Amino acid sequence: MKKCIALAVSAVLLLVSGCAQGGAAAARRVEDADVVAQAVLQCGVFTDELVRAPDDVVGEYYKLDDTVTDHAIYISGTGATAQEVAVLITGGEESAMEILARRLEDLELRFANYVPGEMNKIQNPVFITGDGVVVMALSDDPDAARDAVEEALEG
Amino acid sequence: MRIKRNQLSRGGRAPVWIFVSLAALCLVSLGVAGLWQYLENQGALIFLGSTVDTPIQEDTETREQPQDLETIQTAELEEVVSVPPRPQFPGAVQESTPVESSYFDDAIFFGDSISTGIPLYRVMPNAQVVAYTGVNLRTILEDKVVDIDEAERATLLEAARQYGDKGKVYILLGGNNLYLDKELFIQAYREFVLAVREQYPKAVIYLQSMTPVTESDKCKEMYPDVTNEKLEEYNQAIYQLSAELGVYFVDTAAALMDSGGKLPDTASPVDGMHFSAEYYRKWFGYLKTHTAAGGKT
Repeated sequence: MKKCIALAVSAVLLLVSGCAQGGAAAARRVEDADVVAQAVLQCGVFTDELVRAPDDVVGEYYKLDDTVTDHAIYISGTGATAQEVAVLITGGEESAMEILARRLEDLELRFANYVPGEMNKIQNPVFITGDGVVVMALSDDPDAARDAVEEALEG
Repeated sequence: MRIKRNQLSRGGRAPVWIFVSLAALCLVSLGVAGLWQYLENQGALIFLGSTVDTPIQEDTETREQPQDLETIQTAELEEVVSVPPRPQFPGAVQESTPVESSYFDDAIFFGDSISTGIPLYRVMPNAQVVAYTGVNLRTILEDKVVDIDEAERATLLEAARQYGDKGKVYILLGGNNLYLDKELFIQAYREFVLAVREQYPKAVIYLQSMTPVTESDKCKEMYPDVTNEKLEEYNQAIYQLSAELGVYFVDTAAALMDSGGKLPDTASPVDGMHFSAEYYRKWFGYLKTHTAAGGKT
């Protein structure tokens, strides 16, 4: 009987420890905007040097509000392209979409008469929303970017 | 007593065995959990649909931290950039004792897409940068492009007012306007500099030479108006303008070009014009060693 109890306790411990490890890692992916952004950036469609916008600079590009609790925004450091990845962890999806729309408007203004070839990226943005997360990716290959975002969110 | 001891003995052996078993199984379970975590971190395990329902406190120890660019770049900027002066610009700011980064505390940079990289790469975080991709020299004083407020955009100079007065103004403009006739180009440039001087009457003003490009096919395809020969021709015009207006000319281009007078291909693989972080460091290393009156202004 005691052996049975011991085995049962061990089995429960095994199950609990295994689940805890998997659950923690999966949850971090969505709690941490940068984890999602990093996964998207590694999908191979971004050819420019994308740099994470520092916190004291990001406001020049994205007008974030209080509904955004975490963000990871990667912008072309060289200034050559409109390639971009924005991950917003938010309590207000609608508000987040407005922030992204405003950024797209700004990008259009920047590139329309400068490098019109970049307009393809700006006019074909990938938007994916999840539970409390909104992701935007601008690239020359929206399908591949979309797959990467979905995979990153699924974990 | 014997019975009791036996009882105790019997009763003592059984718990020890159970605890040993429990401990062994716990170790096994921890091992499996560790292996599980390792495989998941390697991307070998994927839990579909297990992402958002159970938020867990962020593990700050394991979170990948963004690269500390400021630390790295400040260290690398300490390397003095010594570049021979180019004979075509004899009146350009000469090499001087390197200044501290604090020299740029009261500096503001006006520019186009190239200058947007200054804050993003954190090359000189204490300096203010007002730059806009694709800015047009001809309409720079009218184009309300900078997104400063929900309902309002501003010109570069208007946007700069929010940062107060400045002691130094650096200008790097013109790369988007090489299609213009040189006279029109300089006329537009002159109007901007005069407007800057009006807004910052006490500031030391530096006009920077436009930066070189690579000679890659990509660059020729994307920017057919921009060649190193034309850049040099128009830089000469900017140099003459600096003399006319009594402001300083800094030959920034010299810091970025190779011995052939062009931007190395490795500096700008994307389009041949916009360069990577390493070249921003060269640029600012050069500025630190080329200041008016050796930085005593």
